[in-house]
Amino acid sequence: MCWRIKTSLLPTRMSFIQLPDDILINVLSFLSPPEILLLRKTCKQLQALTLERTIWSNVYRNSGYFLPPGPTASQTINELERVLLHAYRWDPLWADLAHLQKRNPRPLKSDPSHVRNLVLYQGKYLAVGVLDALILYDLHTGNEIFRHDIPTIPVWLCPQNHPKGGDANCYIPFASTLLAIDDGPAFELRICEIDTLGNATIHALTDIRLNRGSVVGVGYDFFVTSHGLDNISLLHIPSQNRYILNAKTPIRDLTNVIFLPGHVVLILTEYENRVGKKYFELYRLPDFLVMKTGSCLSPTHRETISMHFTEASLFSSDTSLDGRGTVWLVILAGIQLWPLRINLQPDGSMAFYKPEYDAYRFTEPLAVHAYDFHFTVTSTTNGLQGRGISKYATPKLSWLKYDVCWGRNGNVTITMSALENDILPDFLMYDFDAYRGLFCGTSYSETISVLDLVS
Amino acid sequence: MIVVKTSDNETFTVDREVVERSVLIKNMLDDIGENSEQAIPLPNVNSSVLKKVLEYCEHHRGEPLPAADADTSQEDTRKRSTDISEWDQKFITVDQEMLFEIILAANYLDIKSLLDVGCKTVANMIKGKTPEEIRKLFNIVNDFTPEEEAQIKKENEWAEDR
Repeated sequence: MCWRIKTSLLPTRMSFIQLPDDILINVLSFLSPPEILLLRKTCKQLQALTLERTIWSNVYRNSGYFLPPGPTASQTINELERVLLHAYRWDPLWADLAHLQKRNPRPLKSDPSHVRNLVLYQGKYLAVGVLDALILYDLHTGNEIFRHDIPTIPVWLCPQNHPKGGDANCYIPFASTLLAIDDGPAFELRICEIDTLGNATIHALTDIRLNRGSVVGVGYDFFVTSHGLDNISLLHIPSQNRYILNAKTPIRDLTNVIFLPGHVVLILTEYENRVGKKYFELYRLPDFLVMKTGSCLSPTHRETISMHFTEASLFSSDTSLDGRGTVWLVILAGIQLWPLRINLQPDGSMAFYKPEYDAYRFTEPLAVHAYDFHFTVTSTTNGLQGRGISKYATPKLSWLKYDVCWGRNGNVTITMSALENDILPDFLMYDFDAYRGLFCGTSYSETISVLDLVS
Repeated sequence: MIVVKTSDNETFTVDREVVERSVLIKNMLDDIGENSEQAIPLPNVNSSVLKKVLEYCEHHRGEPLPAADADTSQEDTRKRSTDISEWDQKFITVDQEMLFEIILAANYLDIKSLLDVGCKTVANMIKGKTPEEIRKLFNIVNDFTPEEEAQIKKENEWAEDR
């Protein structure tokens, strides 16, 4: 106590580390992750400061990097640092993939064959579906950490718009063949749920029958599937409660499912005279404790857009919530992207922002079609940004890269470029983590390669 | 005109519009009302620092103040760049001690834009330097034992450029 009074009376030379912590934190908010980490090595006081969670959460929110939704409560400071440093290196590489170096694939400790399904999760785990099992790998060690044997050949259902960033659990639905009955084989639905710590649980859902090629969606503990023309089921996975979605669209084809916190959007297609009409139907997710199993749910809102048949035939999308109740969607039609914005209203309706379709229409007749579209959206300080890759097949198999930016002012810019170099291998099946620059896939030889494009 | 009094008992007479760039003073004036003749005491700021701060306020008079509950998007753009305007840059080219005093005064007087100019300047001084260079720059004593230093190096190995 004594020296405090003494120094305050003497004229002191103000120095950097004497500045109060809130000011030092403000200074650090203008530094990049590696610069903050260098400060850690200078002295104990600054070391302690750079271990403050506030610093890293601030960088996470304000850096403008392409990051998964966060920072989440389950992320440790060390994890935040890693994610941020990785993004700091990955972002410029993504901007100019020509500068990408060839990387050695990360080894997996076992080498599964007959790969049918690949899902990257959290940058830490890889779930592999094969002919007789589902295997989960820890990407850090390469070790197999979970295996679920499936005696009958499974059908891997590949949901689109699967929310698996941030704290969201990952769900891998698949159908296991039961005995063949009179009208063809019957499938039993199973869902593998993986949490952020890599714990896997298998849910067997007996009451659901699936067809090959059923469109499915999964997220926030719910699962949606269509079977036949008149039945769309919504399943609450933990309670196994089953609900019927009473779609208003008459002759329909379930094209896509988008899960949002508290809501689900069905995208249904109706074809008429070579014009595909898309219907967007919004449903509130039921409270499984209140709403009895078997209940029928009606959409709270319905919206439609028309697309040319051929363009609408290749329909893919990804969504993200930007923290303000806005859903952003991007549609791949041909090789062209088409942005769409939906605002969820508090009263349970949707506000649609359809851009000038013609502004995004092809200028030349399409010679190529993209397929296997992977698209990720994230909210950054510059607005909403999206990254995607897809393959296209003319004249030879190659990769396309997409960048979409919805500015805060509502302007949309879309760039698409073909990747000239052969850094990305010729994968038949792949998954891509646009947040982390992780790329995994299998080629004809059926061995899995996991490429960390950053380090 | 408003009269303010510094820690070393100097008084400054300033236009209300200029001095109100300080949210602290603005709030004080709102509380005590227009007609007070009394000098506003600023016990945490000395005259040489206040002179600089008033120079800044004078130059930026009339510019819109950031709203109290600044919209997050404004906040975002503020954080992103360490660019400083030409005038501000010239203004803030002072010795280190004065720079820190200005930052402290801006913090105390609640002049957000000046606080940011100061903090950005310090951040720009740190950029591109090694830990040893940063110590030298700010007169920081390396208080790690060799063992601790080795430990930090080990912990941060994953972050080094590969």
